[in-house]
Amino acid sequence: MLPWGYKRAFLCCALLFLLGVVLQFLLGAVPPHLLHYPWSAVAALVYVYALVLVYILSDRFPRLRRLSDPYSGFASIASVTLLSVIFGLVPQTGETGGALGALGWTDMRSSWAFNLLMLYMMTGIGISVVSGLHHIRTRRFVPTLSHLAVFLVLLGAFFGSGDKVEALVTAERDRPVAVGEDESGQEVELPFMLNLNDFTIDEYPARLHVVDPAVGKLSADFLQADAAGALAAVEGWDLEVLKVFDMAARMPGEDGYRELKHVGACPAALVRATRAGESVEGWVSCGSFMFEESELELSDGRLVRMPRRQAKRYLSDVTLLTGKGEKRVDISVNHPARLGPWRIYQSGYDMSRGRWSNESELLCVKDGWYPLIAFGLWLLLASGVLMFISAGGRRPKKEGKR
Amino acid sequence: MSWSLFVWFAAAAALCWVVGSVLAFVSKKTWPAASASLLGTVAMLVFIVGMWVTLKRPPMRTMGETRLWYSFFLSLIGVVIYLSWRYKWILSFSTMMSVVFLAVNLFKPEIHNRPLMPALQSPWFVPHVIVYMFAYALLGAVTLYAVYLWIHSSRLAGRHRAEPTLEEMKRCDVLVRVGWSFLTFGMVMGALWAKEAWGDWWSWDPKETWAFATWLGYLGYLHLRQRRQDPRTAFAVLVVCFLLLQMCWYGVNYLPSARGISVHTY
Repeated sequence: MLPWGYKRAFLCCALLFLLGVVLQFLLGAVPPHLLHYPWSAVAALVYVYALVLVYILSDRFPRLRRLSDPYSGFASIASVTLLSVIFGLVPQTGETGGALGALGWTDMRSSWAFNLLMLYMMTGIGISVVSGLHHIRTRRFVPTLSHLAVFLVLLGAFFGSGDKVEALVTAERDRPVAVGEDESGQEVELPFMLNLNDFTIDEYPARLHVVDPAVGKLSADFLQADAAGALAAVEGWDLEVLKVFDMAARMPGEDGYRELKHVGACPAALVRATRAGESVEGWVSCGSFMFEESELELSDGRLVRMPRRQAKRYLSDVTLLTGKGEKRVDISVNHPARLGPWRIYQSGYDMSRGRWSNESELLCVKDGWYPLIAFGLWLLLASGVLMFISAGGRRPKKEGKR
Repeated sequence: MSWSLFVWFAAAAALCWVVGSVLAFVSKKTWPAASASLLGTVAMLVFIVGMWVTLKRPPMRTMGETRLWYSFFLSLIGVVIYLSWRYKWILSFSTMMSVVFLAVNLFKPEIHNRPLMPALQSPWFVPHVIVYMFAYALLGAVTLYAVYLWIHSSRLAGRHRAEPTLEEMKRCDVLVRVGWSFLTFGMVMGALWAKEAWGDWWSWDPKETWAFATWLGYLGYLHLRQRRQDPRTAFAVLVVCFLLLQMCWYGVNYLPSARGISVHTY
């Protein structure tokens, strides 16, 4: 039999869910930029103040304790878990038609029910943090720390999401740009100018696969064509690289490729394929935006194909110009540049031109709540370490039956 | 090292683990079973390190490669639990699960060599995957333990049920707490990495959504246990959480909601 405490807490979650459904019907999805600075910061402070007030008043009004008791803690976690499972199962297409769309489940992150239940969970965590900090005890130190960390992350995510500015800038070589586009295609003016000095791509060596043209799927095995003499058995054929060029081109009227260090050049390999005495030889190339690809046809109807080489690293050499001066930075994936509250990320390039891309896509992000969320996450990491160390807790004095 | 040698390493590891499991029941001392099992774990480690050197990147890029880590950690955790609490059966269970994952690699390889794309070239990559695989293996072991306690406690001992002892429930809690700590490490490292790579802490990618549900599920277990509920409810919660974990690890690859849109497809 479920204790009344759990029934009450789950009932509360169910009512919040129903309220969310009603709000979804009446107002549609939660607007993505509901709060902006300074109102977002004011709302966050008022919310935290309200939590402290609830904690103080809970002595006079014991019912307020129900917001953060273990029953509501478990019920809110279980409810958010359930909605997260639905979140994971329902394709997030954003469509508003049909029952799932009307409930907001096709865009769960913006649905009222999900946000209200997350808010309920965050409120319980917040009050328990206030309580934990008020009655700081060694025994409760680690749980208080982890609750505080989760609370800070959720607080930043809830109240700070509207303040985030994202602008995707397509920078061409030596053409300064100060305007980007947000997700909806709206222009976003940047407080700085960005000039792409150079853009370089390192690529992995070319690979040779055997492919059945009727199926089109590349063989799992391959020959890495990084040097002449490379050998491998692929799909029953022994492939050998006789000659390989990193940059090559096939001139009109010629059968073979020749080395050419020029814009648009593509990798090419002279390949010999042998199987049970039979042998085929020819050039294979993945081509480029200038030159067509070449394949080697085998006697069994299959082809030796070189897919486009994959990027190992791409790097933008950028100058950032502001009213105060200029700053030259290298930006690559996992290595963004910083300029005040802005971070500039390497996002992409002109895939059709590959290594000869003249433009670089850079994502400029302004996130004023970065320090709070980063602090919360590092605190969560630290509390995880402490939880791991103290996981064993105190040993019970003697073994007994439950 | 290459995948063509995997069958031999897998066979050697499986043989050692099976011998260890049998010795746990046959021998009165713990060291013969632990040594045999650890030998199997070392065989896995040698293969993993060899692949790391050969591939010139951490073997964590494909589903097959993550299974290597899972089998390695699960067998290691099995030995640690056996040595800590002298549970003879844990080696049989950890052997069974580890061998299943090795067998999956043999019969459904998914091991094709993929280059490391730029986003994966980060100092966060290795710790992020290792802590997750360790958490998955540990939470797999605790599920085995919970199911064992569940079945054992459901048997009638005389006229009374053989209830799990406080000590047994505490072991369950400790294992979940450690597993949850590692899930937290994996999630936080992922968030810090994502911010460096893409500018977002969290983007509700299908894998992230399931990771969040799994993390919350085990958090729910820890909160439930504060009220000292009926152990069977706790066991049921653990089994559900384990299913969420499986969905997060590989089930998500088969979901229509995730196909083609997850950056975590591997």
